[in-house]
Amino acid sequence: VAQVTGDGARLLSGVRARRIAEQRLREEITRGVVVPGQRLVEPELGERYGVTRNSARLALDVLIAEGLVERIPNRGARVRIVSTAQAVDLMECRQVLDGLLARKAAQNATDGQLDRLRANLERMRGAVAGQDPLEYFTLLREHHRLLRESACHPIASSLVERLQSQIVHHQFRLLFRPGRVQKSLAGLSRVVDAVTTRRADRAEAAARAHVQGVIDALLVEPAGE
Amino acid sequence: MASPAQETAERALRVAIWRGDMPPGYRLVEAELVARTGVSRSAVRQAIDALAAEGLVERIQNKGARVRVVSTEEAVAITECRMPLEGLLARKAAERITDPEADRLRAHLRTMTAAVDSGDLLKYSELIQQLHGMVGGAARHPIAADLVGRLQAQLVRHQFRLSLRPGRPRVSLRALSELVAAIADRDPSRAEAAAVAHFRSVIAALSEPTPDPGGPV
Repeated sequence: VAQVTGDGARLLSGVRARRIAEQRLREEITRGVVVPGQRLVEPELGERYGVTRNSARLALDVLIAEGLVERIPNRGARVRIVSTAQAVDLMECRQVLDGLLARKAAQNATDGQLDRLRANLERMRGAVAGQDPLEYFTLLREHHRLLRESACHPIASSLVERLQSQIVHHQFRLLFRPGRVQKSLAGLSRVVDAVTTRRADRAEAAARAHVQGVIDALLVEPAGE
Repeated sequence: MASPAQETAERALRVAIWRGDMPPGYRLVEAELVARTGVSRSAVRQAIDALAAEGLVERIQNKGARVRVVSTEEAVAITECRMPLEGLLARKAAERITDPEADRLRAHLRTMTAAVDSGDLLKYSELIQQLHGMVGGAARHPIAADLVGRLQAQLVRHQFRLSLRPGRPRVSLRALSELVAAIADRDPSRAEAAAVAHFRSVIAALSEPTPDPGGPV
């Protein structure tokens, strides 16, 4: 189904269009392309993603339900602003669920998945050595994606993904703090070591300890930006 | 934030699903929900989106939405997520509970004991939900409480079935007594361990094959 706009561009509509807009906007929020507090205007979003205004609105409804976007009375919607205190609470939830995922990964991962986890960790080591926090950030997301895939636990995975997208902006900034990527790498090495040697208890404990490091770092964050 | 109309529609849907007026598989027809709740079609649609996001209802390709059917396997997976989050809430509750809240928690446990003693399982089931709500409140951790609430909503029917199993209420009452004692004593580690132990036993019980008890599931 397509609609033709004034300048002749064809806009997608229907369920597929809503999904496209939803996925693209979610990705842009995660990557910080659109920032907390930024206004989201339906016709603009529609144009950017090549979907109808109505599909853009339906996509916003989904992201509002997920807590990524919030409505402003009579003024449309904006990317939700997450305070440091809220980020800590989100991280505390993430901490226990990451523990569960690491445990399940140690139990359920295939040998191929373990190889990919190890290989990705090596690339992370390279990014730290090369002082490339942007590359590290990309690999960090890949690490978590691999762990979720290895865990074979779709419910925990989707909860973590939703929590993650709300705090990614905070985490992204943390990685640029001196010494932070080194600490992060050390924590994740312990997780990968425990998972790849299939020690479930240790994997859970290591994952929780790693997130505790992130929480501690968030808490010493200087007020204001 | 959700509009008041959306909240009205959401609440009505939740209650209907919880009580079984809309059983698993029930088709959600927007027009019917508009008539039932008296709010606009767009508010109804937003309410369905919100409940779909938390897995209480599911969309069917080109046919709207229906109340989601939760298999035993899924109920186990949901409880596995709930277990460490309840552990977190128990720990925070033990750190943050006020004296009046601790008193209310102890009093609530006495009511639960009385319900089990008199064999009132429906009431016991409701009191358990309330207990988790009280722990969530004392924890002052709205994000974990909200996640648990969403997971919980998908489990109510399974948990109610579980409570009808012979001997099960006594087992759960013992575990929850330990949880209440640890929180009221302000012992965070013990409270977390008690919550985890309780949900571990729920998972074990859910995983056991059992004849259908019949009754209001």
